[in-house]
Amino acid sequence: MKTNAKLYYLIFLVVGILMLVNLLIDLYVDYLPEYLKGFFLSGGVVFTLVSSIYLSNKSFIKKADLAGNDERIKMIRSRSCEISFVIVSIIALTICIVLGCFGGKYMPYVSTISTLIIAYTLVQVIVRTILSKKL
Amino acid sequence: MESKLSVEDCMKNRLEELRKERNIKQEELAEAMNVSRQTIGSLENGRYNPSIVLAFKLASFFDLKIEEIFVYEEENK
Repeated sequence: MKTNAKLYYLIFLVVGILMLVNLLIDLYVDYLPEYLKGFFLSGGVVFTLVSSIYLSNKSFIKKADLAGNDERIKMIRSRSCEISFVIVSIIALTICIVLGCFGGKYMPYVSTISTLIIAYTLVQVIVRTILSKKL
Repeated sequence: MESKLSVEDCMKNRLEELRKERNIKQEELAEAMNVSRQTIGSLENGRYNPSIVLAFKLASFFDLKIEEIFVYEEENK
């Protein structure tokens, strides 16, 4: 089975170039906020460089295709996602509890982290439900 | 009292033996199966059990039946 590694890198390249073009236009029109300027500059450079390197080297594309096909690599990827989710949740929960004890000015952090954990868990439940119906 | 014996599913295979018989390198087998060399290594060491698709592909590569390559054993521990 052939994967679309080349297509993905092409998409990355286009996105990178678009970011850099946006930055170039901004030099004349000045419509981007400072935050987006930094984001577009770093993202544009990284996306363009990395995808160009990958697209110019056939062995990289071959390796990426192989990684997309290899069931063991896929299994490792999904397990590492599961394990890292549990670890991150434990860390976030601990931070929430510790910061919650101090209260006051830390409460916005607690609510942000809690919202992120809840959102992530909800998305996971939804995706799992969809997948369990599909597969 | 509940028995303390646990049943562990165990899959053994003859991949390494078959590969060496036919003088095939891990890299060559990996390329034919469209997987990485490490996957072939893991299969040979028994650290990883293949999917049914990969098992069929391996069987057809060696021109054997799946059960001639992979042996399922129920082990009582």
